[in-house]
Amino acid sequence: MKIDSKPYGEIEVDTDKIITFSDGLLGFEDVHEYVVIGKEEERPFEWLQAVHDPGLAFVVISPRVVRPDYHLNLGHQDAQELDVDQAENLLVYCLVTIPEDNPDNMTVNLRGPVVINDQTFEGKQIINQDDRYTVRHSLQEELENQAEESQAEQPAEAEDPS
Amino acid sequence: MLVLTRKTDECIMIGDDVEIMVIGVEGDQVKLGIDAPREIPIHRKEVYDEIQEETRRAAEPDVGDIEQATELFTDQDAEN
Repeated sequence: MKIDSKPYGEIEVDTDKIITFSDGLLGFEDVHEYVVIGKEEERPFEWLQAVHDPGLAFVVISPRVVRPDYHLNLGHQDAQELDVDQAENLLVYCLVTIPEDNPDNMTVNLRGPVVINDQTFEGKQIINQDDRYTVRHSLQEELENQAEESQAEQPAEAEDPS
Repeated sequence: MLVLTRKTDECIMIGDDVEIMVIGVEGDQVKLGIDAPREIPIHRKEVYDEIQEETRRAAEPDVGDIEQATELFTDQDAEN
């Protein structure tokens, strides 16, 4: 079906890929249908686009890009509502905030991720019980930390005995 | 909002399934114990409000900004 999207204007989407959020998102409780869209050149970012509201779309990213060891701690009710047992995989997306006046300070919300059951296409924004995470992680800092950590893991060069 | 005053060790019942007890009071901090079925999620309200506010902020940006965002990743690749 054709929908009007915030980033790309009119696009074609597969109705099978429409995700239903019974509770909407926090702050947007009345909007229930979204679809994930994206372009190769924008990876790893994608968009969570409201199907019936062209102006409502979120930049999203997989949390493992930001924190490779990201841990999703689902509460009991969330696991039930998402039918976790029936899911092959849970798709997890985190919302990215790009401040208009200072885009370099873009942040990602690791505390309130969007979780989607990849079989039922039911979705929910949950509160990650793991309180290591906050609603605003600086993307730049997280990537810098990752780079430092992977450099630290490089084996030390063997000293030349001669 | 219903306002009740309780002392340490006193409880409140919400419905049949939720019980809140005042465990202790120290200065301006109140320690609460909550007994509820595990199906009922319990969160500090600030976290809930923060996520709601941040979700609203995330809905704002201009389309153009994502290009700047992807540069962060192409720079990383270039360095590797």
